[in-house]
Amino acid sequence: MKRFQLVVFLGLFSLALAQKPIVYKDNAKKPTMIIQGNQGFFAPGENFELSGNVQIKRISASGDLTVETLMTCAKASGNLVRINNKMEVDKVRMTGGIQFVQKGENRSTTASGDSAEYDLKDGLKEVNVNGGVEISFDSQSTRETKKDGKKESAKITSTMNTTSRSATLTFKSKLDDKKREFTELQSAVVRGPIQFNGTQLVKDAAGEKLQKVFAKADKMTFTISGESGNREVKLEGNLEFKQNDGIGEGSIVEGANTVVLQLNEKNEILKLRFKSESPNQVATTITKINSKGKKGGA
Amino acid sequence: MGCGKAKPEITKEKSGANVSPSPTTEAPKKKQEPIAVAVGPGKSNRVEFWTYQKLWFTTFRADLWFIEWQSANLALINGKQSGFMFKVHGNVFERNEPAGEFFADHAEADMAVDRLILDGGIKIKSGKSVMTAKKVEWLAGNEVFKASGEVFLEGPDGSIGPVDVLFASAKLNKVASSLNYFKK
Repeated sequence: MKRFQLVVFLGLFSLALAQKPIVYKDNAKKPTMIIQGNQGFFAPGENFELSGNVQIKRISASGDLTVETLMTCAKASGNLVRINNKMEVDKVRMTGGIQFVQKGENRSTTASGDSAEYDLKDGLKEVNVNGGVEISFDSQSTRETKKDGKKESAKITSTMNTTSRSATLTFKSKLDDKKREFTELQSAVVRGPIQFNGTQLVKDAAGEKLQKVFAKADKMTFTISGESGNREVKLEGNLEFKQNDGIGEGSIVEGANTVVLQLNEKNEILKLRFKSESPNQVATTITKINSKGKKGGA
Repeated sequence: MGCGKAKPEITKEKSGANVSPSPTTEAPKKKQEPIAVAVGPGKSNRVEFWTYQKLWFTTFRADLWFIEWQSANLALINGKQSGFMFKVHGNVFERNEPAGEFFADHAEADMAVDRLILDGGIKIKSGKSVMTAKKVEWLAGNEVFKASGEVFLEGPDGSIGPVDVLFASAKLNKVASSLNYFKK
């Protein structure tokens, strides 16, 4: 009897695996949006409801099938409507191990959490992620270095990441030189307590070097503004701030309750501006870090 | 058809109204035995009548489907018509309004259970939407198509499939992986 039950279970399991997901495409031949799940309901022009390996993909309209935005989760429901002659998802509620990935030309934003909402607001795309939220802002670039007098170029990925309880990411649609639409991060508000990891670009007589920055705060606001895309991170509330050059020396900044970080397009920190509730409270302690990465003497 | 759920107070009467086959052979033996009829081109409306006792025995009409065929083998069992039809075309109804239009190589109608099954060369159309599949069943009671085998639907707001099984509304504007989504 048990063997029979096992055979039935395996049969049903393999049938479930073999079954094709239900897939929606905004255009059968040249899709720019693909939505799929193992089970579900679609009323294009109205709404949708999906469960089991749900994926909502926005693909580059240039025809190279580059995924621009990918949302994955266990369950999703929302509106599927035509806006400006283009099918869009709106008011999407996602649950069950959600992951959100937005890729630009040289940068990407990844967010994961327990649940999320995706909405269209005043021409912007907004994602609210909740519960055990991890966000990573990655930037790919080519850096030229000199080795034995020869110029070498290496591809570098700079990562700035946070862990927190909830976050709101806002994206804006833009047009590139060839009038192709692409989506870019405009702001991220991360609510804590949060942990922040970043990279600081330090210039001295020996040249440029990168050092790690660690911070804890109650809130982080990341904004990209202006034509040139000025990037700024503001960390505020119960601020703890540490720098580590990776070879044995670091500093701890105390007394400040806010720090504003000015970033370059690779998300590397160029300038730091600390603020405290009253003047002369900010103090920096230089520390030696031993080989195991622990704080040593002052 | 939603109001027809108070079953104890309803009496149903089903009919294949306006049947106009042109019989070529007939082989009746006994009155209670099925009557098989091979016919040439013809058409039929499948209609259901509902009588509500609470509404002073008012009778309502529900159109289920309309079908035209080039040739058919029809069977009459206890006065209810069933059969196989070839090169068919017709309409299904949603709330008594013609909604989806269908074309197929073969059709099987079982009027005893209000089912119309299409097979081969299937095309279901509604407005600018078109659905193709290897087999399509019209579930008249739910006003839903059950399509199976390489199901693909394309309309002005996008496409669905190919998928193994798909349930679609008569107007092809709502689709689901299970009939339960239409029962909500």
